[in-house]
Amino acid sequence: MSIELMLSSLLQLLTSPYNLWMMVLGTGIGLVIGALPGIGGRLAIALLIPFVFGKDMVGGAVFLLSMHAVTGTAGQLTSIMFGVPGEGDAAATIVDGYPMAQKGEAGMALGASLMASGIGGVIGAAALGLLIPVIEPIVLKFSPAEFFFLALLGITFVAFVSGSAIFKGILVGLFGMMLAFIGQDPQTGIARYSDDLLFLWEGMDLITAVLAIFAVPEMIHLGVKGGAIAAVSKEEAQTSVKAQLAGMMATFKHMWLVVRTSLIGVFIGILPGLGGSAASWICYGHAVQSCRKPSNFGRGDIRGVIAPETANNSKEGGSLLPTLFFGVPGSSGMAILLGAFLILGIQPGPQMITEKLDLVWILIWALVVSNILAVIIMLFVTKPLVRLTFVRGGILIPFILIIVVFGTLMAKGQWENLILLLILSPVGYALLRFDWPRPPFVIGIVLGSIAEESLHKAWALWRWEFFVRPLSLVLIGMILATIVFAVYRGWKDKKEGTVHVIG
Amino acid sequence: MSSDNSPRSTTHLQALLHGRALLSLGMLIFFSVMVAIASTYPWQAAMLPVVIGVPGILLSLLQLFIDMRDYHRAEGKIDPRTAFEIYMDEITEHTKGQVKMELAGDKKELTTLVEDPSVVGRTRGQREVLLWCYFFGLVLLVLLFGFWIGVPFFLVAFLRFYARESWRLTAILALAAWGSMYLLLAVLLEQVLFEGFVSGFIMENLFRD
Repeated sequence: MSIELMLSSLLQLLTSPYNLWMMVLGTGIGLVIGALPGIGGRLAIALLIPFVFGKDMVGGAVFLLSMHAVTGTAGQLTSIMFGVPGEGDAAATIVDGYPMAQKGEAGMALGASLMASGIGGVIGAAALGLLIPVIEPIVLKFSPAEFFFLALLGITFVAFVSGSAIFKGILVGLFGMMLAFIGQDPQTGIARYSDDLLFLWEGMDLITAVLAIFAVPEMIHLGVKGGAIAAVSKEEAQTSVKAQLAGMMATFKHMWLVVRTSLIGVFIGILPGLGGSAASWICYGHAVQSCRKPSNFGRGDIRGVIAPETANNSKEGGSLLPTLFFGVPGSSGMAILLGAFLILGIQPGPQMITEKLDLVWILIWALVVSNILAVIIMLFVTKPLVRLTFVRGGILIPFILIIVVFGTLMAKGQWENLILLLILSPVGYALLRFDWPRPPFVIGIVLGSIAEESLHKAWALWRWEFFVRPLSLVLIGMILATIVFAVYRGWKDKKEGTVHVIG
Repeated sequence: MSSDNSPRSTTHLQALLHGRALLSLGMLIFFSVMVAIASTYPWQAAMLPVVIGVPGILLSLLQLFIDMRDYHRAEGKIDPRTAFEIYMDEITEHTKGQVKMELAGDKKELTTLVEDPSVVGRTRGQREVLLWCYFFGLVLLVLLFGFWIGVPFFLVAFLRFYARESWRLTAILALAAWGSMYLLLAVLLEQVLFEGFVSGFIMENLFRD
C-alpha cells in the first residue's frame, strides 16, 4: 500500500468531472432521502440501482456509496427537530437531540451532530484504509458465540440509559426484546406470536416500532402542551450560525469521546449482522456510562447527540471492509450495495486488495469527501430548517404525522404496519406520560433478535463450549464489569441523592 | 387536582387503578400472556421468550408493588400528571387568547409567550383525546382511501378544525404540502404507496378490465 496510490486515487476522484459530479449528486440525493423517515440508505440504494445500471463502474460505485454514506447525516435533522428518526439508526439521537430543540438549542445540537457525523465518517474511512492489511484474521475470529456476547453487552447498557429508573428501564428493555421474538423462530421455523399474520413472520418492523414509541408520542405531547417545539422565544433561542459553530466546537471539546465512539462504530460496522442501530445505541450507552455525572443525559446533553451520530457514520467505513474484501455485507444496506457493485462489474473479494486497490482507495476517498461535503451542505440548510421548531404545533403536527404514516408505509411496503403503529403509539405515549425511559425499548428490539439468532447458531456449533472460547471469555468479562459498574454507580447516585430520567 | 390536604385512607384497588400503576399492570399482563403463549411452542422456540418473559413478570410485579406502595404512602395524593401537565392545565383554565409558558430547565428558567388557538378553550384532556382521534382518523383515511387521497382530507380537517387556521392558510398549506410530496415521492422517486381498500375496490371493479 503506497502513499502514491492513495494520493493518485484522490486525484482521480477529484479531477474527473464525471466522478465528482456523481459524488455531488449522490451526496445531494442521500441528504434528501435521509431526511425522509422510512426510506434510509438501504432503500435509497435499491431505488437508484436502475439509475447506475450501465454506467461507468467507478462513477456508479462512487454515486451509490456517497449517497449511502450521508443518509445518516440528514436523518439526524428530523430526529433532533421533531423527534422523528429518519431510520432506526437515528433513533438514539432523539434522546438528547430533541430535548435540546425543546430548550431552543436545535442549532447547537445540529452543529454538533453535523460535525460528529463528519468526523465519524472520516475516521471510519481512515480506519478502513488502515485496517486493510490486518483485518482478515480479526474478523475471522468472530463467530456466533462472540456475536451473542456482543449483543448481551449492548443489552447491559440498558442499565445506563435508564437514568434513575433502572427497574422501569429494564422492564422496557425486556418489552422491546419480547417484541423482537415475534416472527419466525430462526431454529424451528415456527411463527411465534404471529400465526396467520404473514407481515409479522419476518419480525416486527423496527422503523414502525421506533416511530410509534418516539415520534407519535412526541407529536401528541406537543399538541397537548401547545405552542411550538422550542419552548423558548426566537430571541432567546440559539439558532444562529454562531450556535451551530458552538455545537461544532463542542464536538472538539469532547474529542476523546468522538474518537472512542468512532472506533466502536467502525468495529461494529466490520462485524456482519450487528447493524447501524446497534452501533448508535451501544455508543450512546457508552457515552452515558463513561460520563462522571450522567444526570443531564436525556434532558439535552450534547454528548448524547455526539456519540450516536459519530458511530452512525463511522460504521459505514467499517461495514465496507467485509463487504469489499470478503463479499460478506456488514449490514442490510451493504448487502444491497454489494448487489449494486456486482451489477456494476465490481467483484468483491480478497482480489480487491491485490488487483483493484486503486478502486478501493477511490471509494475510501469518496467516503471522506462526501462526508465533508454533506457537512458543508447541511450547514447552509440548517439555519432555515431550525426555524421550523418555532412553528406552532397546530401547524406542524399534521405534517409530521403524515411523515410518520409515510415512513411506516414505506418501511416494508405493508399496510399492516399502520395497525402496528396504532397499537404501539399509545404504549409509547404512556411511557412518555408516566416518565418511563423509552431508549431501552429500541436497544431491546434491536439486539434481542441478534442475540437469539447468534445463541442458536453458537449452541448448534459448540454447545456449552461456546462460553469458554477465548473471545467469549473476554466479552463475558466486559459484561460483568459493565453490570458491576452500573450497580456501583446506581448506589453512588442514591447516596448522593442524584435523580435522573432518560425519556 | 384536589385542594384537600387532609390525610385519607386508600384502598388497594385505588392504588392499582392509579395511572402509574396501570402501566406496570399492563406490563405484567403483557409478559404473562407472552410467556403463556410461548409455553405452547417447542422448547427451542420457547426458550428465549420464557427466559426474558419470566424476569419481566417478576420485575413488573416488583414495579407494581413499588407504585402501589408509593400511592399508599402519599395517601392517594399522587397526581398522575407531570409537573408540566399540571401547570398546563392551570394556564389553560385561566388564560384566554394567550398562553404563557414557563419551563423550569436544568440550568435556567425559560419563558416564552405563545398565542396558540389550538390550545385556547380546550383542557389538556380534551386536547389529548382530540389529537388521538385525529391520528387514528389519519390512519383510517389512509387505510380506506389510500395515502394520496387520505392525506389532503386529514390536512384540511386538522388545520381548519383543530389548529383553527383560516380557510385560506389551510388551503395553501394543504395544497403545497400535498403537491410537493407527490412531486418528490410519486413523480421523482416513483414510489407506489398503499391505494386504500375502498379506492382499491373501486379501481378494481369500475376502471380495470
